[in-house]
Amino acid sequence: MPDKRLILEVDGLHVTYASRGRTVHALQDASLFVAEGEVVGLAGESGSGKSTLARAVLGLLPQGITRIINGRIVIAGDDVTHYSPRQWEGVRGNPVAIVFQDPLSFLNPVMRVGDQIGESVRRHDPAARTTARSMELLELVKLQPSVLRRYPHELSGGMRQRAMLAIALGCKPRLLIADEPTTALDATTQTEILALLRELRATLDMSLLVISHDLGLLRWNCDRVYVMYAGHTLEWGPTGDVLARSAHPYTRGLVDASRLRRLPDDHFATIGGDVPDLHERYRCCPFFSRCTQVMDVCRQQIPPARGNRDGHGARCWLLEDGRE
Amino acid sequence: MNPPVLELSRLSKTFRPRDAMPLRAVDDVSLHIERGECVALVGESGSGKSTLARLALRLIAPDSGTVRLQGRSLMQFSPQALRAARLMMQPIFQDPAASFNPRRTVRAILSQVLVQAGATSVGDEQLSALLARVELRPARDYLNRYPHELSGGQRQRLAIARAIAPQPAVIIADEPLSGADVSIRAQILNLLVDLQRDFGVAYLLITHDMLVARAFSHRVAVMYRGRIIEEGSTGEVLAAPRHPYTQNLIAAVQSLDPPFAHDVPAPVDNRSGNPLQRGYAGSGPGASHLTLDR
Amino acid sequence: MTRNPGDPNTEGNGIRRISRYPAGLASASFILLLAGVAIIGPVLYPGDPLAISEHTLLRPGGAYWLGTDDLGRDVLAELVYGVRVSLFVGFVAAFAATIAGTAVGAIAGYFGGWFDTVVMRIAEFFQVMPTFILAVVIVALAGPGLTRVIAVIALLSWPQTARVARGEVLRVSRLDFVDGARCLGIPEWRILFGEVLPNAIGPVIALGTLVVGYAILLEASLSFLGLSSPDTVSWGRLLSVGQRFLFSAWWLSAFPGLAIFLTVLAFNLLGDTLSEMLNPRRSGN
Repeated sequence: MPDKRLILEVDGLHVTYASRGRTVHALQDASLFVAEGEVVGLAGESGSGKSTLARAVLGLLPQGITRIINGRIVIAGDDVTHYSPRQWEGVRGNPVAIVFQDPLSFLNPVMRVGDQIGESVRRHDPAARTTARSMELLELVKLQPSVLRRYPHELSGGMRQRAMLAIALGCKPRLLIADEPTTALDATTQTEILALLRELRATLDMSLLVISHDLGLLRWNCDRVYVMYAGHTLEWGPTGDVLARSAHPYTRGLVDASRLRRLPDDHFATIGGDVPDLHERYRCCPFFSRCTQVMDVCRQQIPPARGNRDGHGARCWLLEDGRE
Repeated sequence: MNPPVLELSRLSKTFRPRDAMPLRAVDDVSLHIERGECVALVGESGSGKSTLARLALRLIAPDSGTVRLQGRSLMQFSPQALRAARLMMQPIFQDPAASFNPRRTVRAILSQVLVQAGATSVGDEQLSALLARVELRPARDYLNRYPHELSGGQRQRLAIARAIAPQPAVIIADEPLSGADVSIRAQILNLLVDLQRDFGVAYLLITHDMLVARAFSHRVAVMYRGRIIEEGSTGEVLAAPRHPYTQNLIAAVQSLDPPFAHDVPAPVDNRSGNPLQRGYAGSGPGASHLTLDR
Repeated sequence: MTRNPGDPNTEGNGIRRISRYPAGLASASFILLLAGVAIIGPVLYPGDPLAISEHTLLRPGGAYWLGTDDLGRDVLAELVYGVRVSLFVGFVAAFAATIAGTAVGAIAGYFGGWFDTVVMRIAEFFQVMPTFILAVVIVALAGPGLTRVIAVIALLSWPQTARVARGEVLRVSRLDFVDGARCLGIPEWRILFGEVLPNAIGPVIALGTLVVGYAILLEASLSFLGLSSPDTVSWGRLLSVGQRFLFSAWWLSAFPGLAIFLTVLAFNLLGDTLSEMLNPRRSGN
């Protein structure tokens, strides 16, 4: 790992947006990094801030409403945190591209798929032979050449997802962010798309950041994973370690709830309480109100980050020396 | 022998839209649910499971086949008799946002149900009791709110409250957990477990998620393109699926199985059991501690 | 403002909401002002608008603030009385059109069938007709009279309302909670009026406001052409009188014209604002 270069580095990002006269802290302390050739997962439920983070990394946060209060985003060595829209145009697509959850709203309904892929190709390489390249891309994503002439609504869900991938790949990104890539798909199609993503990563020497609430998906596909809650990064590390030997009570609860683990009284293991209130600015652990192992200090101070040499770490007072 | 609470016999429904091919949504489907049982109907989008739910609820009329509720066939009921029988069979819909009249408060919504179920007047104490059943406490925090002011999990609980209020014999839940966060999902399932224990209500649980079916149902029926391709007790079907489509669905579930080692509570102390060992102060989630080329 | 659950007009603290739309607020204030003038204007500014005097064609200013016409009638008095006619015709016609259109459109949208087809064909017929010419023809044949004018305007406006109502009812009746009501054994008619219609009515009300503006304009046009009753003081009639003196006595055309313009503009802006406020896609977001 020390020999690899970083494509993406997010450090202590704090993003707010205005909603109905109040401030919502979508991200309060989000940190992660993705090195070359890695597949990194970002896990979290609604309100965790994972989608905000994805958009922040591409400069897609709505201008007048959101503010980056703190922290930084570094893409391929450049600090892009306060880039202007103009400057962002040079970042999007290459080196960072994104595919979203819902291909239908992403694809232009009145343009043929081939034209949309071509547009992407031309934008990043005006001298390219568009049709040839488009066909190459289609082949990469395992679509028939005839798809070039089709309109998005004529394709199935899985095909649209692949088309969206082809458009993103047309930019030759070094990092591809997949925001909930399979949520809108059937189980069978999900497996196919994930297999495709893995293959692409290998053939194209591209890094992947997979954002999902589905822990099973992340487990099978990611080298490392981050767990987010209420805009904070709570736990991070190699996927197996984080999911099987979780350090943070939230992660543990999340894994148990995902598996629908049955407790002795026939109930399912769950995390009590409700989704976090993002109007709050937390100067302590954001999970304290729902944690079964909460201590006094958890309500009062932000827990420090602790980790081991494998890169597995978490922010939790339980990990602090001498605490019970 | 008690008749099944709900019996669907050879239901078929073909849609004939004006400018498209006829679509055989449900093709000769039979399914029965015994008292206090939970039957999961598993299928992906397009399998016809939602249409089957609507046929069972008599929201649409089948082309052929019958629906029997507690032994009596609903097909020959007069509209008035049907309206009375309906209370025995309540729905929970997939989309909590569309499940409620946006212009009615929680109080109005639940009062309406209770009045339809025969109450002459509905007091706040009754409503509080109902809300307490679905763990929406304290009731006064909820009664005056509108559905859109509630969180997703709260709305789903409200939907359950509305469904059990008339004390139905069977609840037909169409994807009640899709779109819910994982922790909310487990909470909702716990609620359904409790209600079954307390009221003996039967469930027809429609889902695309085999994991939910495995966790919660006694029997499972797999639906594909309008037909039931496999059916049996949950344990049997999952252990020895016969149809390749079923096998596919099950494989997706296994992605979450052990080696997650959480059946044994993970030790928390800082000694040998701590997965992180002794603190290594610089290892934050960001990359600042790594010596890398930037 | 007391909150009535279920009443869209008192929900969500209406005053605070409408203040987010300055154009709407301005229009609403203007219309309230007009209504005030209509009700108490003649008391505050007495004087028979039809009274002929020898002070003909006086410029604005002095004793007659807005001048007089060729028969010495006070323009301001005529304007003040004209408000009543315009608002009366506007509201009554719009109200009739809205009620009729909503009823027909809702039933067509909810129950479908042959009724829906028939209603839609009729609505289309009126859609393609040049409504103004039709209005002129009908009034010319039926004879003048305020009630006739109102009836004609309502007749020409209801199809539009019906279409909007039908569309909204179709959209709402597909939502799950309607099925939920059915599963409680509530009869279809009660579902239509109790569950569906209150949620469908927003855009219809917004359209109704626009119809008021349209009705006022249509009435003004008809009376401009002399098709309204001759003893009614109407802004349109003032315009038709002023037409002869367009370049010599500009005030005879300018003030009535301005009055019509501002009033119709106000109703259009209010209609736009209501349309945004009551847009069901925004409810609760």
